[in-house]
Amino acid sequence: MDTKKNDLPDEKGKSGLISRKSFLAVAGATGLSATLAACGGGSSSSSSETTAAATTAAADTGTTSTAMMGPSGWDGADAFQYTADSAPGRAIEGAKALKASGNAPEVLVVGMYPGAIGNFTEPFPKGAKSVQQVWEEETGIKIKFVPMDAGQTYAKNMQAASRKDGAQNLVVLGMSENGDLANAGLLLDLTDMVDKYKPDWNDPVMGYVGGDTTTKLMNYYDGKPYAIGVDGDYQMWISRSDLFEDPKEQKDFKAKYDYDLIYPETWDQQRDMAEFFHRPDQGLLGSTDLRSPGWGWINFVTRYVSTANPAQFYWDDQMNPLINSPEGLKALNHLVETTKFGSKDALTWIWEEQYGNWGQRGAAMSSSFSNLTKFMKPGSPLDPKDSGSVTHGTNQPGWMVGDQLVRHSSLYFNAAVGVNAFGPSKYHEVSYLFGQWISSGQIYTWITANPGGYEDIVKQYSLTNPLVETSYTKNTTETMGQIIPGSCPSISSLRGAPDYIQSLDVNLQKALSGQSSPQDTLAAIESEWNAITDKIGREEQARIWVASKAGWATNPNTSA
Amino acid sequence: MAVVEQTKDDQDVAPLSLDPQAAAGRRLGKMMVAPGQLLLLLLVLFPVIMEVYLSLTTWSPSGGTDWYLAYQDWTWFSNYWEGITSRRFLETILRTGVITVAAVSLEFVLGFCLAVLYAERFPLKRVFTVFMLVPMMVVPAVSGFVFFLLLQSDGPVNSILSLLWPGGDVSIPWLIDPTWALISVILVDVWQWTPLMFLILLSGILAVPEDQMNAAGILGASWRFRLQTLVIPMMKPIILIALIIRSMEAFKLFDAAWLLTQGGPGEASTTISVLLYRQAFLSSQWSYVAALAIIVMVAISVIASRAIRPLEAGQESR
Repeated sequence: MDTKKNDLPDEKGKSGLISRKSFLAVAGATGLSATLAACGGGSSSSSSETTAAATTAAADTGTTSTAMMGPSGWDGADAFQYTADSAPGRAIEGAKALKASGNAPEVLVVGMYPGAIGNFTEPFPKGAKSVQQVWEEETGIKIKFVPMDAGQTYAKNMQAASRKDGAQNLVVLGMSENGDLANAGLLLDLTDMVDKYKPDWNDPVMGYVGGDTTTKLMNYYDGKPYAIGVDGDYQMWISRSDLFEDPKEQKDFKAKYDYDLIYPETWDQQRDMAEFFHRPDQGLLGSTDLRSPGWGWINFVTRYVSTANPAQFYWDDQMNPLINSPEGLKALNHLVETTKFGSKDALTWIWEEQYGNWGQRGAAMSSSFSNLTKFMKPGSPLDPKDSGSVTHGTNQPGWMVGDQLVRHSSLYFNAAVGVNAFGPSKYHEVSYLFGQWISSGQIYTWITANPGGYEDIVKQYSLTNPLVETSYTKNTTETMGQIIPGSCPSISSLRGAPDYIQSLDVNLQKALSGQSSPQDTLAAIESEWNAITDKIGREEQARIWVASKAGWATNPNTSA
Repeated sequence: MAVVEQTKDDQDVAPLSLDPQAAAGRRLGKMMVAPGQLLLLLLVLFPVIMEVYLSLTTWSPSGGTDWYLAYQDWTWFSNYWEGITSRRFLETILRTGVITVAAVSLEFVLGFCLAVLYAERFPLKRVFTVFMLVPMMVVPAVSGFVFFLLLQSDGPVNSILSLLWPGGDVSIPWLIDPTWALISVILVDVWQWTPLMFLILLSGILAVPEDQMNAAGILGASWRFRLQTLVIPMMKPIILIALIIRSMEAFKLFDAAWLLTQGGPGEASTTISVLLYRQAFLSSQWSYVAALAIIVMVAISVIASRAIRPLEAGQESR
């Protein structure tokens, strides 16, 4: 870390003295932030990344706003470093101040998906310390990660809410759970702390890709921040470049379908291409986008949300379901019809089978998390046939709506952390600051580059970072830059979201297994969704649904 | 006269019931066991009372209120009414009944045949007995997951069947077809719990008096005749107990159904336990689940109490 010799006696400013240079920097920053506040700045920071609170914190600890903090130990580490007057810097300085005042625990307990803990605990790259180590060294506050299986977080968090269990300072949750957990009182309203410490969520350089829309999608429920998104489970469409760019395949495809073989832009093209490449006798499946319980419903969503311009919603503003409609039927018919181009066990495959098959070059197309390209590397046990080198990512296919191609991806699961309201109240602030720190552009980019876990790209800064590009691929980072701004939420930011999802999931399985016609399936979903809404309260639910639409894409298609 | 006459010494000894020391001992004994009994009572009674209380409300943890304030959402028996008029619930009960009857019947037939076989001596009997009992020792979650792998369309089971089947390619959709998914759940349960049935029935067969069996044999009764007229009638109480125990356990089946198919495809293999799990832990409808659970508990209690009547009648007739 750099230390200006004519500034403080030591880089942490422990003597408490402050130089004229740093005084002027603080004064300038204070003036600028006051100006911005007068202009009505939003809840997260502007690109200047300065706030009165941060400068106060910096002044209190004596750290100059220009001293670099963060990871070190390898060439390129400076890309992840930050000053005290940045979002991660404010988090660190704030945490240090809280520790000094006795308002931080010795050990901060953080719930996290088992498959993501490695992102925080495994040192990466060579020569670096781990994310956890850097936080612990900079703040003096230890972190203990508690593994919480992704399929169990909702139940366990609900149990914690009913018991008022404050054992974890930060709980991990999936995106669809924030409404119920906020209502249950488990998640703390973060508005005051967001206003105080100014995270970089909307920063054009360091913030979430897609800016405020993504922030609202991931972090907000009923107009307030209750969670901090630390994942990017956007669904990327993947195709085999060795097949799609093969001259013979192109020639044969054109002869059969009378148009050029391209990476699919529409679902109609995807259907033709899946049929063309479905050669199970040769060990090749046409398309392995998932269909199983818990994993398949998102592939209905990605077909559904693109059936209208700019997007097809799940409900109207009075919470009447829109799913039992020509648009819903179109999406479901396509989902059912294309199932035959996947595995015979499509209804039981989850991501492990999907990735394993892809690593064997067993499919021509699929839909996956972007981390597939992080894991498919030469020498990886998941990639014995170097499938990673022939994986080409694009946005999800879409539908022609009039003359406009509408293409939206969606995301589901998507880890977030929330401050446990039942934890000791004096530790709420430092808990939030850990969340602000790991969700900052610099630190989250470092996290997502780490192949030790499956946390995925979601920050603007990650899209152009060389380490991320090396971990994933250039194609993936470019594609995610197109996908994320145009994505639509899956069912989230609503009370009862898990209920709506379960109804959708179970009924889709009936359609996929032939127990129910697509029309009857959609009618059943509509009926069950209405029952759920009525049980919760239609008027209140409609209000929250309308508020949640701030997280929906307004462009029909952000693909190049 | 063989009568014990009361002696003068006897008259001086107080009856046990009036002995102060004995009475003090009994009081002390009651005091010693009271805490444990109270704790047991609380562990059983309190959850039941809480469950009944919640079942009469529409409380959910996602509502943000504490459970003891559930009376604010009082709804009397609407959860019960919703349950017994719910097509999903009734179909699930029926489906669970089908699984129970099919699984327990198969387990009984197989277990009885094995018990008859094992009642005789044969080489390496002890070794085979150990192998027989292994499925019962496997954790149900483990067996569920292992069978999930075995029953894939391209999995080992279909591969072996393809070798054995004349004309080749067997591709039974064990886990993805609604009917086969139900069959898979039943077969896994039979694989796992036939050894238990076998053990219980074997104990019943071995308890049949050997002298009666030998006498019947000497008198010319065939093995089949002895089985029908001696063994089975004498084993009736054991058979009844085995059937009741396994039926109650099979009705509560969860592991195999959840790990093989998650109750799917759709709800094709959803048992009552899977339904309650989904509603409670994936939907947080705790008060509704409480009502359903009470309905199921009452139904099973009624059926079980009727089922054991022959046992009680048998005891009384002695």
